[in-house]
Amino acid sequence: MTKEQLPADCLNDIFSHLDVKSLSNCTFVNWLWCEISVRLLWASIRNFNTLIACLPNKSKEILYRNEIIISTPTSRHPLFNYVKFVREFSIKEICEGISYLLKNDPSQVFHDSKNIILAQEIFKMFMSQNSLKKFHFYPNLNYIPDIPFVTYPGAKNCLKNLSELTCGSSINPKYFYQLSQLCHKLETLNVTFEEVISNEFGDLLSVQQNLKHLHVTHTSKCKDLTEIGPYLNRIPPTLTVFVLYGEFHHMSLDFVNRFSNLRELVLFFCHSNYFRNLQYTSFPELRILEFKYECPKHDYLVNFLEINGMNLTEIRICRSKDSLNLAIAQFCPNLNSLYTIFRYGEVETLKLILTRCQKLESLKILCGNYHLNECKLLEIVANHSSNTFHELKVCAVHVQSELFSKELESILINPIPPKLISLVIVKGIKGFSALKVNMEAIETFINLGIIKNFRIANFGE
Amino acid sequence: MTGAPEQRNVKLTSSEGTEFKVERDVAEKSVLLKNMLEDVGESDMAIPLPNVTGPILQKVIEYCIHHRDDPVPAHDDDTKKTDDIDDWDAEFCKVDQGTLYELILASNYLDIKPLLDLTCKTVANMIKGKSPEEIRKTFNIANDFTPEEEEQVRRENEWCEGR
Repeated sequence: MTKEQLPADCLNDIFSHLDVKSLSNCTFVNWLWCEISVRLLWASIRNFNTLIACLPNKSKEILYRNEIIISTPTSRHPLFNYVKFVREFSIKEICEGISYLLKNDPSQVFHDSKNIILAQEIFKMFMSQNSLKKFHFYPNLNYIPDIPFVTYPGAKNCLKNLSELTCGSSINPKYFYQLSQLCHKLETLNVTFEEVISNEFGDLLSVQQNLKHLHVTHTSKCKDLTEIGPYLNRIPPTLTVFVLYGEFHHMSLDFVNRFSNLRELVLFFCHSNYFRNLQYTSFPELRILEFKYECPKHDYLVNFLEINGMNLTEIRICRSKDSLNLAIAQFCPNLNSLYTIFRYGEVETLKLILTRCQKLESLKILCGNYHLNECKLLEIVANHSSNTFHELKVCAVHVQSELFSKELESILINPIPPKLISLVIVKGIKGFSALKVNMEAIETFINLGIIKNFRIANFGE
Repeated sequence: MTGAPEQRNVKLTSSEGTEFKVERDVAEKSVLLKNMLEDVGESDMAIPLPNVTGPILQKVIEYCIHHRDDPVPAHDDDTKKTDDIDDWDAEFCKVDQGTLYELILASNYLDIKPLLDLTCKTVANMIKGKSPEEIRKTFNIANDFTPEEEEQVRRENEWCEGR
């Protein structure tokens, strides 16, 4: 063969950029491609029948003795020991897999002895052969089996390198106790605070040496918030990303003050008083700040930006009563990316932000109703943004009328410099907005060299 | 060992013995060279790179010069998704397949993560949306499966519907 061959050593690096569909096609190319792609494809369980075929003979005998008969993909031995490739594993997935294999209702899975036997054998196989990275104990599952997998042979090796755990605070404290004995290297913890928060959960938190991401969801079932405080105070200061989804309670954020390495702070609250105790804290590493729902009180946030704004590269404000845009222009000159709301009268503030934030690459703005007109917006961006700017996202979730229909003629009177911006219109959730876009206006902007390309994206993309 | 951050130029020799002179910050885009320079300290000796040919080294240097001021990604999650390849990088990767493969090998050997990512993404984009047969054609690969084996691969890796 004269043509060059793809270097085999690098196939893994190449395949890591592929989606599941493409990876799946790679498995059929040849043996070498197959071997490398199945490893990535099986990072999470792909086929439960194949998994059953991988069970050790001892387990197969146990299933046979208990009259559990499950078909395997072929009569031959599996081509690979797929179990070893699995890195991500969830209780819910196992429940669903078992109900699929034995054809019964997922919620009934662990009321049947056959199901429990099958689950035990699957857990034994994983504990003895695997090294897991991600483990999901889904919260709010009332059918978690009482399978003592953490005590199975090999569990220590299987779980000691766990880097991500998802769980609810109400799961049986003995799991938390056992996990706190084994897992000290968690980097990501997604926890939902429910009715019960056990001491053992606190133990698991305090043994972590390298926790970087913490996502806390705080449900309305969790009533007594004073109880949470001591647990949050046990979070190691290594934390770099903190995401808090709160419900409708008042919650003190004092504990956040300890996270001096914080790089990203995302808060979801429904009232605006909560930020008081953070307003004067300096987070030297903070780069990304997001308020998913209600913005903190204006004065608190201005104080916070005055101290921390210089370092910020990304701000996302999804809703606010008072405009923060002036404070952003004043205190945050190093932003790359900004999502904010501009009211009708804020044309000058937008200009100011574009002039002050010379590194700004991407701007996402809520449009329609009382907000800045989209044609005007495009004109200002084209005229005032720096050379690094390349993406404008117009969030049209609540738009009733047609976008880019008005004022086009009046804008085109003055020449606009060519800019080559990617324009993205974000539309609402299905059925929520009847979005119409004036394509002629978009074409005009493309022909003027202001828009390079245009697409419509779904909300949440 | 005494580090010498003031030293301006670094000499590199390609596999055929061609010498290239680059500024130190450009050379240090390669983690391999950065570590070597830190260990060796000030030296006029050219660093031999027997795994990299002249034309490929030339391309690698061109990339490192263009990206010399890029911030070093401090966090693993900073790496971007496949579709965001900027215009300069896309243009840089418009080379024949052989050169692209050699660039992958060179960036792997020299340990230049952003270049490795870029070249691997470019190849990944060539794979996307293609059938197995089209992939074999594109990359000049012979199918070494028997029909039975191919069927077994298919069955074992089928996405199970019940989930």
